Amino acid sequence: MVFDDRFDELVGLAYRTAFRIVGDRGAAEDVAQETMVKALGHWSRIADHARPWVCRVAANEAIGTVRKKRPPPGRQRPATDIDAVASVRLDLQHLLLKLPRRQREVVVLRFVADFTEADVAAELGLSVGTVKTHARRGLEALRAALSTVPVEVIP
Amino acid sequence: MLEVLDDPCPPEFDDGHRRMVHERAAQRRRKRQLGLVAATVAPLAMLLGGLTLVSADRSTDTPPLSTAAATIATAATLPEPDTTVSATTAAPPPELPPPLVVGGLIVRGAVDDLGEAGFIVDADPSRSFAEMVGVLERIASTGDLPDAVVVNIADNGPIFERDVAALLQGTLRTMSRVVFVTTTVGHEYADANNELIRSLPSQYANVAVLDWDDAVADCPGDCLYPDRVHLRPDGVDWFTRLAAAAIENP
Repeated sequence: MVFDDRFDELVGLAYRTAFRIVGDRGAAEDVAQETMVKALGHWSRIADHARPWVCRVAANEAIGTVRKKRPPPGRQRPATDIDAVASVRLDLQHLLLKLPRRQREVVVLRFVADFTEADVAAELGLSVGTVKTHARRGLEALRAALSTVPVEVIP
Repeated sequence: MLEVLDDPCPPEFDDGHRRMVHERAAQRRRKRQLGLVAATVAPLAMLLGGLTLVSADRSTDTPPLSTAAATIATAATLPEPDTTVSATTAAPPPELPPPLVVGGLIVRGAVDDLGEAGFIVDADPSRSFAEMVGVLERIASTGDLPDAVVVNIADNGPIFERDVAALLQGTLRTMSRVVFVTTTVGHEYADANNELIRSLPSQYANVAVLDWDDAVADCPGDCLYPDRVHLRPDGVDWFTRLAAAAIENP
């Protein structure tokens, strides 16, 4: 299938993945568009696994956006600026920034983009068992980092 | 709960967005093609008697053709210019020569992008550290060694402190900036190489480290092939940006 025929589906997927990480419409739109530019450039190689590819690239772009925008160490945003949901999102962003690359890719694809373990394994070239291990370790790190927030992962 | 909140009112992506994506992708294709044209033109210019580089501007998205040509014009595989023929000077010489990148397989894969970013590149995938030292000495002997160099040579065998010290206290002693790059290669010598490289800034004032082994984890996009060493296009882009930043931000 040609790129244009799948544009609507994939750009929506890229936006949804990015928004779940950056939590900002403008930034998520930028990430989605950049992701689609890259997808078009690589289309001949990714067409048969475009959905997980787009999710992975959008997530990495989104994390890169968060990294660029985060305040320098020691400069915390005033508590009055953010509500509880935003606070949890910031915690998630910071956690994602700290996770080792492979754990982060697994956590993002599995729990942010809602892919199955088998799909994550296929996209990353890992066994399902390895995906489970990375996911478990990533969630353990999540629980440790968000120790003040009840953590429940919805599969 | 792991908060993965969706936008309750996501934007509509229409034909305007689709056209913009096509336009930006086309711009990137043209940019890469420009580099390929430069690669073709440069050897011809060399055969005409040498090409004086006119710009080291790394701040623009579309560097001058001559800058991209420098990538090829300085490659070791090209014939030496005929010094008996007057050099063709297209413009006044730059105040500072473009920074140099020497390396192996990583640099080889990024040669076009590095050239577009204003670097002179000298790369050989099978190059050892000793061979790289020879390349630098040869360039230095011609007086063409620039003021800044990126050294990416940790991925093709062990490197030793005495050899690095000899290089830094000899050929590269007067350079204002030397950037060593760590490696992601999976060989047993990699950790020792990276440890040695990370220790250099504390010993040499003109040395900085591009910690590629660490920074690659933050690479946006699809950056590495499954061997976790060779760069995909996104990885090339990220490496080039980091190399430029390492040179430009002391």
